[in-house]
Amino acid sequence: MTILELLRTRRLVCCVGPGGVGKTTIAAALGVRAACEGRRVLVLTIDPARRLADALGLQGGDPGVIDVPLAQLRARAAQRGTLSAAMLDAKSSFDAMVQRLASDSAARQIEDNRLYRVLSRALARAHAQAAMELLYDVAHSGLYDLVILDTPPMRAALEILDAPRRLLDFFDSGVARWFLDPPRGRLSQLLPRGSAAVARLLSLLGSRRLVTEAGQFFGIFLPLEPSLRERAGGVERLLRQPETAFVLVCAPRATSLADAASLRDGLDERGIGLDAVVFNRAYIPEVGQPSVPVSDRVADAPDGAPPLEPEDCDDRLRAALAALRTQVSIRNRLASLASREFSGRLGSDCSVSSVPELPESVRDLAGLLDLAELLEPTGDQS
Amino acid sequence: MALEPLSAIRSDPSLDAFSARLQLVTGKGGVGKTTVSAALALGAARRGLRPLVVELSARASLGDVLGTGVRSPEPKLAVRGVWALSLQFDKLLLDYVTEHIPFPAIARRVAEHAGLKRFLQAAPGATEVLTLDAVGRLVLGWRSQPPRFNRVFVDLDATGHSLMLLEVPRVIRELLGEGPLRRSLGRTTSVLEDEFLTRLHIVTTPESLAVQETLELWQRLRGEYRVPLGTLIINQFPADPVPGALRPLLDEALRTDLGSKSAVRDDRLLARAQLLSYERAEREKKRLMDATRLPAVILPQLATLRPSVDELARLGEELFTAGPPSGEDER
Repeated sequence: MTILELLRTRRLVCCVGPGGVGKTTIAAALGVRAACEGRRVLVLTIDPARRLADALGLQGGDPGVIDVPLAQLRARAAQRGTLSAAMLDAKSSFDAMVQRLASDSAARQIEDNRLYRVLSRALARAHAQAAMELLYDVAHSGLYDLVILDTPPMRAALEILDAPRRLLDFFDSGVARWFLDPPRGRLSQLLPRGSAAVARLLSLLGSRRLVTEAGQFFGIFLPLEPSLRERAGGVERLLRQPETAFVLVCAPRATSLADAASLRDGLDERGIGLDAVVFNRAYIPEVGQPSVPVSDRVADAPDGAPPLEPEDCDDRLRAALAALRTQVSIRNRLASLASREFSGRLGSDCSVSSVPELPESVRDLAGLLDLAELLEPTGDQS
Repeated sequence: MALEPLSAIRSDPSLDAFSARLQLVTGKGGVGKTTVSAALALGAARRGLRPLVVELSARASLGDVLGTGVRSPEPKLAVRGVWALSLQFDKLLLDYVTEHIPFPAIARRVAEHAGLKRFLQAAPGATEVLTLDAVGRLVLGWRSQPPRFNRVFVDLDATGHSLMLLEVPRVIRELLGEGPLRRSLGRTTSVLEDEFLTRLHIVTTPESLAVQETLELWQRLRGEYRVPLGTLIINQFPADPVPGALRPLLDEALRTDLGSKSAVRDDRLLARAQLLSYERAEREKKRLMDATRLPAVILPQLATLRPSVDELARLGEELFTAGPPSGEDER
């Protein structure tokens, strides 16, 4: 299925990939294209660069979902399509979840709890938990036909998939209960009997105040378990249903491809296949034809030495330019080989696209739409 | 418990840009941190040192870059005197528990407790504490053993996940009262903020989005963390596509060539595009250096997409010979 077909038919598209390859830009481009096709789209981005935020109309740190007007795209956009965008503010998403699920008095206690303050920042840092919260809400709101999720780079994308289960591990694994009720919990099995011994161990490991706060922390969160479990289950189902697609964005450089392979394997281990791969910044567009023919065999090509003996300035210039052209051509061929090798190991139903280096960064919605149109599968890019 | 005295390990890394015992290499995704970490380690090994490169979580790249293809939870000799280590949670937990829990019977039960493992793996910040404790022990030595490696390079990506590592010393100060855990954890985790032991280098490419994100990262590092900053490494810097003397000729040729279609003209247009790209890179470099005032090293864009060990070693030499003494900057 081509990317365009995915954009027309799916309900959730997750963009995964190593860092620094333009994944967030691609995610936004997909969103713009889908909206122009007439769908009601939400692009949910993580930590977008300022320029992209400007292109989408997001202010830094602006909580909530904003509408992105498509007027400037005029003729290129279908009438009924809409585009909304949200920048994930992980900390406030997590806080919002807590506020929503906890009772009023518990919510107030939570704010004062030092452990909560430290842990919520840490919980937010992986974005995974907070992303899940927001994703659950928007997916069930009925407001959007399609959500494009821009995941954090690398392993963190896999954490998104593991997040529901991990959160439950944290609150549920029986260990949490030790802090609530040490004398009757399983910790006592590890120690000589007696709550005094337990208290002594715990206070040896940390301060008394910390132990008390940990008890309070878990006392607040453990009753929320049933709600958390339900939401976690809902997100798991959402990520695995056939209406969800996974798009991998990477660059044909060695480290990027190695990371991409690792991600692909990680998804595979979790029973998830890739629906599309985009090689971004894959080649430098070569204008026309080279003035000096470039050898078909990369090994034969000269490594930068000019083919002519320069005699005058014009010749020197021509030679320098020919050498430059050769270098660029070699680089593009190597990139093409690397991409093909990677693609060869993908399923046959996974579509592959290559996007060239663009002369300038994408600045606006029109630029994003242009970028999206370059994503149609082009086959060989040599 | 006779450890090598700290005085023997601490030195003054302001004398040389890459002489700190512990060097963290950070930067946004895709800029070449793993490449730079490997290059620095090769340079250190070539100078008779015993370097270890540490990657924090399962990534394919370190093994790929060093050509070993193997991720080892124990330090393992990779290539040309460079050792490599890939930290894994189970091993981190086992080492931590063995070191810090004073009751051996409990320590054993704790290390093997499946529920506790799941809990800690899910617990935010726990992995970071374990990681930093492990790194600290690598730098300072453990129990009666002196440190095995005199240079430890940590490939630290700039995601929130990894930046949490930089917060551990402060978190420990805040949350743990006085007690044996705070004392022993404090010893290992405070290496991060020790200016006689540690430097944090920032890697970027000269591409405008990367530069913008690097400036924001630098602001955060300076404002929120107490880790001593080292060198700014601008990686994948394009070569001058058209030597300066020939540039006026190129402009002239493009002007007079208007309207004609020829292969030579196409070469010129390509050269023009590459030249614009090069000039942008020069501007971004200036912007970075003016803003941060960090000592800087520029590394060239390599012709190949997968650097060989020889190419990495050459990058290592560039770093060590070009790196200015950090005493020059205005810290």
